[in-house]
Amino acid sequence: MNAEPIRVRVTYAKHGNLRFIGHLDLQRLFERALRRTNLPLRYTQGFSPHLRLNLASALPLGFIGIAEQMDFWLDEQLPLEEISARLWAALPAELILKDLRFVSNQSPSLQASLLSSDYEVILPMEIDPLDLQGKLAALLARDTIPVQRRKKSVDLKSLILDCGISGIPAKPVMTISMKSTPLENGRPDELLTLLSMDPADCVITRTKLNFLEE
Amino acid sequence: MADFIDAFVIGEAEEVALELLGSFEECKRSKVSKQETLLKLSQIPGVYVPSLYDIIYAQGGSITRIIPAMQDVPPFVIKRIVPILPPHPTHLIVPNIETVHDRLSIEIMRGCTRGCRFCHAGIVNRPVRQRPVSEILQIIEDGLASTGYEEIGLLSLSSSDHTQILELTRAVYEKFHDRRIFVSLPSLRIASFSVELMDELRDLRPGGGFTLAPEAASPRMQAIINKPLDNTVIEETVRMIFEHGWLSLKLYYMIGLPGETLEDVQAIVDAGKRVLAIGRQIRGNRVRVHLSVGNFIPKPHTPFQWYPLNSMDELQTKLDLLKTGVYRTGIKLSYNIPETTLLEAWLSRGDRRLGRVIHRAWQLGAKFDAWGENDNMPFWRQAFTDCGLDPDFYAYRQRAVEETLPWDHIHTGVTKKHLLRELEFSQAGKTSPDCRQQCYACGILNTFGDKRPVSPLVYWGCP
Ligand code: SF4
Repeated sequence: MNAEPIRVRVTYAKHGNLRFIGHLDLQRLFERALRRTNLPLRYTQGFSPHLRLNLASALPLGFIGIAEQMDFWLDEQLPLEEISARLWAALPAELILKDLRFVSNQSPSLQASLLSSDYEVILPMEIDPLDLQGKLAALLARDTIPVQRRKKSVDLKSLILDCGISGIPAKPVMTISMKSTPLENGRPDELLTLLSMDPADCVITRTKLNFLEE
Repeated sequence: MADFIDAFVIGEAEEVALELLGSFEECKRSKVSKQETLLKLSQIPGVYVPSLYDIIYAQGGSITRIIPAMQDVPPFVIKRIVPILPPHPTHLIVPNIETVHDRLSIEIMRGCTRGCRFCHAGIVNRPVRQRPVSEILQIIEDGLASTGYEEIGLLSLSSSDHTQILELTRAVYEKFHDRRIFVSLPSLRIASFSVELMDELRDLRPGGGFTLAPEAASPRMQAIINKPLDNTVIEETVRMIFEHGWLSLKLYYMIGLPGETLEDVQAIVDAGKRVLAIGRQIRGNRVRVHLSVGNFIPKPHTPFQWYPLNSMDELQTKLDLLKTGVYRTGIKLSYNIPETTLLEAWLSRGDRRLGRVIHRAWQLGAKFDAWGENDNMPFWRQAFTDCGLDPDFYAYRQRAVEETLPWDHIHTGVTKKHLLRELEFSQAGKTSPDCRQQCYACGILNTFGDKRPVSPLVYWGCP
């Protein structure tokens, strides 16, 4: 039990109806799914032990994620194929296991090494992509883009790493890359709102998480 | 409900559900009319088809008789029971978002022998049947494997009355303590034994407070409702709860009970203060006491079914007394809005004519009535007026014991004679102890005795 735990990294997709469940619910869902696998799961110590589980980053409600990541820990080493098979069987259909690998306990936590996230936005039909491109260029040309979050003001400009629209005119897709660190977390929905769009009308997918080592 | 629902299963559905579906399927296949189908369904014991009964009203609006509208329709419907509690479901839907009762709930026992006179569940779920420990352990095992839940709830109307409850809690700890689950064990009697039971669960106890349900605080009221509690037992239990690690205690009470005076209500406040004082003496100022007070509605099929509901003014006066009483004491008080109680009383004590009222109120815009922010009462009152009915007739009328009650054709197995005797006892301030010690011939054995399994492995509470 006190032996070095085995750290397992899961890459997964969250889509369909499940994109409407929040971060805490997702965590609970993973916990129960993992319990159903009957794997030798590692728990935290203490009076009220919890499953050791670590999700890289909260995916905003309604977003699809196709390469989300999570770590969990086992008490014993097992073949990856077996872990994968048991997890597949326990997960609901709209959570898809994309990759599974062992990670060294020495490497930093997912949250600590996450730098940025890439998003793809499918725009609503009625949006004119050329017009939007103009608006976007004007917006990005500004020195600062202040947005209001709760009581504090955040400069969205400093959070945007890259942003553009491709596939014009047939299949316009907006790609956004934004910082995702605990201190500086970009929200693509804020950018869409500034461009006079309702984020709820767009299909937003987080396509990639970019970490320190990579 | 005749306006909305074609057929009800009265009582426990586990067996009859299949009979009902089978019969329905047959009717569908042979393409018989709806009317004929309903008649066919009414032949299944325990199935109640409201449209097959005629209600005859007297001048004043009360019911004279309820009679079958057709030949072959039984004059009354006896509830169904399962003599042995059937296999417990273990493959459950696990919600993806947090819901109420978000745990693996297991029914360890059905029914209750305490005979509290306000309690609907205590009458309609007779006789008491319980699951053996080995079966419960297997249910937990299978349920956890298929759901992945981290918490289980061992449920019944009065869990400390399960004859093997101590064995059960010990076995649950033994078998599951290294699985990192929590075990909740609600509905415990006010007795130090209940605290011992919780102790058996040790670190499997979920966080949070201890809950007790005295329901009434003054000895007089306790005798009326047949839930007598020795003050020293309460104090001993409460002391033990705080000594054994709990910091918060929730107490359930009711107001608006028959014969209740303001002194009886004041007794609730006093009880809360005593409990808080005991807690503070043991654990200091961190102790929390929560009084949760419900408004009593006289429920069909209980010894109190003939009583009227307290008027809104009476309930409000009692609530005000409670609010003033706990003011600045540190006691938390939660209560129900009297108007919501009134609506519940109309619906649970009404007759068939209320179907029209429900429909009309809905047309006028009443929905989500239980949501505090919606004030639908004007719609309901308007609906009563539009239907030519008097709401007070349903809520505030003392019903005569000779009167035919709207639910008299539904038999729970407990006779009216028994209910009346309990009513008389109540009025005389006499209590009726647990019927496992002394059977009152309530009617259950007469009705269901022949179904009783002979195996010594199957537990029935009746002698
Ligand atoms: S028949 Fe007797 S023991 Fe059984 S429920 Fe009725 S009163 Fe209780």
